[in-house]
Amino acid sequence: MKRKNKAGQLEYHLMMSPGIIFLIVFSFVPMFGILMAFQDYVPAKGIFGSAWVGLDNFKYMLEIPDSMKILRNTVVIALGKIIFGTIVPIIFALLLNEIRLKWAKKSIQTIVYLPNFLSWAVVAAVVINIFDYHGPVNQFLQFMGKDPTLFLASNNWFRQIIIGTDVWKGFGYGAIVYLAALTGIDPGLYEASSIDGASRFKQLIHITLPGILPTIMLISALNLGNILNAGFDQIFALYNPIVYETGDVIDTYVYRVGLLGQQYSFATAVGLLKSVVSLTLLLSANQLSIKLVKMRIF
Amino acid sequence: MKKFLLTALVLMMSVSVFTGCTKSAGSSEPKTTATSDELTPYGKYAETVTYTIGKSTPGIPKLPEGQSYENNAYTQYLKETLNVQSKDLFEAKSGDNYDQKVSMAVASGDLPDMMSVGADTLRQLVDNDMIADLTEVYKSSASDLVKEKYDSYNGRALEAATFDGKLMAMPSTSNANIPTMLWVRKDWLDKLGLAEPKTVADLEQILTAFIQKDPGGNGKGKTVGLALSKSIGGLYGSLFQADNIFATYHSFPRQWIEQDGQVVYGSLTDETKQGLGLLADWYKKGLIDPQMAVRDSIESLIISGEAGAFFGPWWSADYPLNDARRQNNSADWKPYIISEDGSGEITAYTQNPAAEFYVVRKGFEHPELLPKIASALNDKLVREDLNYQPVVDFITGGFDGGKPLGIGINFNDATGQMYKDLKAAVDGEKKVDTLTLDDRTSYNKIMEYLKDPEKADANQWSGYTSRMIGAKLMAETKVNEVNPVFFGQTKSMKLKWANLVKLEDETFLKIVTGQESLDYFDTFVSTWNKTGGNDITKEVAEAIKQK
Repeated sequence: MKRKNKAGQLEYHLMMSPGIIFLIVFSFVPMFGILMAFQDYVPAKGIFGSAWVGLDNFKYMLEIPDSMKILRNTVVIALGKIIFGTIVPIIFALLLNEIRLKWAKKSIQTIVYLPNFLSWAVVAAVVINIFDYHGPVNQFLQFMGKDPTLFLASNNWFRQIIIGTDVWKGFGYGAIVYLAALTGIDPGLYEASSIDGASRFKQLIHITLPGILPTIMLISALNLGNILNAGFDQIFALYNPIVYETGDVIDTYVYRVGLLGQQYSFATAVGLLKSVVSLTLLLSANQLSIKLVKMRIF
Repeated sequence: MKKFLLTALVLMMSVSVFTGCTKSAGSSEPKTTATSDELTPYGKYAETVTYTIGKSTPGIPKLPEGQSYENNAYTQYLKETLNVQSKDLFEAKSGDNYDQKVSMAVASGDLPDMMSVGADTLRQLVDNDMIADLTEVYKSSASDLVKEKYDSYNGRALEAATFDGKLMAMPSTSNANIPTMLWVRKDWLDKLGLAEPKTVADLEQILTAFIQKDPGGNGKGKTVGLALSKSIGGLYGSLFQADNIFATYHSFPRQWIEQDGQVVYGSLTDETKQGLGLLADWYKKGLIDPQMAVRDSIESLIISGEAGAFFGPWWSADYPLNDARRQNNSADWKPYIISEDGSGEITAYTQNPAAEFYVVRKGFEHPELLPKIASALNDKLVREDLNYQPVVDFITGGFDGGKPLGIGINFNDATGQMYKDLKAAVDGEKKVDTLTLDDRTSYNKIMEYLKDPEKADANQWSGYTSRMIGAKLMAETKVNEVNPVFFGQTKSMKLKWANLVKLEDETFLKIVTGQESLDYFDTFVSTWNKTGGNDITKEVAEAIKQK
């Protein structure tokens, strides 16, 4: 690179600096704390004063049956959110795109977009009420002559509710990007295809989807990086000891054991597990992407 | 970028480490220089004695303007009565911050003359011979009332601070909050023509009537019988626990108790299984909140008038029933003691009577100062000098953190005592200005309530119900106390306890709500033992033997 170019880049680097600083402060510096996973950490003694215990915390993690459960819950819920959180907004955007009434399109878009701005503490209260014994879902079941179920205390339903409500909350927001991508497709292609006699469905398969594919890949990649972080407040607001079996994920477990139970070192070791899962997911998604659509995520 | 990261790394690594060399604690025990008069609880020193302390401050500093931790109403009071002045060697927010400062002080050997420490640090200080033996000065310089207060715990309070027969610290006490009671909607009982409950069977009948007949008009199937916490039981003196039910089976969940000469964890016993069995049966019959597993706020269930009964301590009338009363002035909650046979006697486990320990540095010339200050603050100030104006202003102003040493010593039955004092004042047998400041506030509410109970507001109702009914019931009920034998933490607990607690929470809730059969309890016991419980039980037994 030539010197002249470098100088011209200074302002761009400056623009990047808040992001870089954020990354260093909140992502790199805390990595230092990973050391706690190999220690018997005592807050009063600090990282420098606490005794080293080698891999004891990891050994214990393998000993208890909980670890596998938590790992499985995390992966299942995360994958469910990635898959449905990608497909639903796309389908919704495609459907919305077919609506010809402009005002209806706009208002539907705005309404489904709203839940994204509510915090999970608020949405959870609504969800709890909806699935309440006396809530609408159970009233409908009773009307159909079925027994009411306490969905949020049922290991058969908890994951579905977690994934479902997460998708419900986010799909309006997710659809916006796809709607924007849809407007970017050259209308000439549609005209040409209709002259060639393509049906609406054929247009969808051969023009619309390929047209927004780069956007889909990009959004999926961005979601992937975050997905294991996204579960805590939602699950924390909705779970209870009965559904620990299917709903307890790494974040909630670390919170309970580490902060409430004050087992800082063990919780750090479990938290490290989360990073491993994240990295695995991300790398395999990249491989998958290269293989299937010949496109690199990073 | 690479360079930047390197710099950051070096910066992080170069955080300096303080390493302290432990000073050798004074090998010969210096004799106190106090005269025999100065050794009495309230003997005033001829010359001002300055002592250093480790000051634990409240989370939110709240001192009157112009006062400081070293110079405020309380230090002024001590200066006037004993001629002593505190100096803070360090000040730190109570909790982690304070504990950290204490650890630093212990590691460096630079201890303040007096400070408060936890049970673990106390043992460490004793082992390293860093604190003074208080056996003699406790005898000479603690007031009779302070001694009486400690003795009200049947020796359990001081025992926690005694090592090899020597008293090494003076503990703050945690007074009794038991028995917890059954609180029931009396207006619902009256409406359905039901008698007041005396036995567990009575309660079952009442709950059945509540959910079937819906006396509160909540709508079909919406009335909740018994409101119960997700933790089911084992939280001492707390709201919404089922400890009263468990105790009828002689079960004490979450407590280390002695059974047939062996230390056992109370959650694992057959008795606990029976207790869970009964609760599971009640849940199945719909007597217990069917949504307890997902219930967010039990308080709101009670405030909205949907629930008919719950277990709670004497102060339940203040919280959450004050709000319930505010919502509905005819919600007439009353406390009852229920037992297996209706005798009115009750079995309950006690809590750790010694919460924190106050120690004196070995080598401090005035070890008698700790019992003297403890006596001044916990006896003289609350009896003879009750109306000492600066302190009255300090308390009524809502300030906090003035006492140089926060040592609090109360009778085990402080609540019963409060009831007796208030009763005497209400009956005109005790002068109102001899009541403590807190009691005076309650007294006013009670008198207002008695003027016209029908028209009394929620605060007056709460003041009356908690103190004249709840506290009375607590003072007059005969309690067969079961004393747990261990409260501390062992080595393996540190790593494994939280998981065992999780297992326990999960199992109890699943059994009660019928997601697992009662037989699952046996699986729980064996899993509990296998995943660390066995080791911990052994360590606990070991720790008790050492004591």
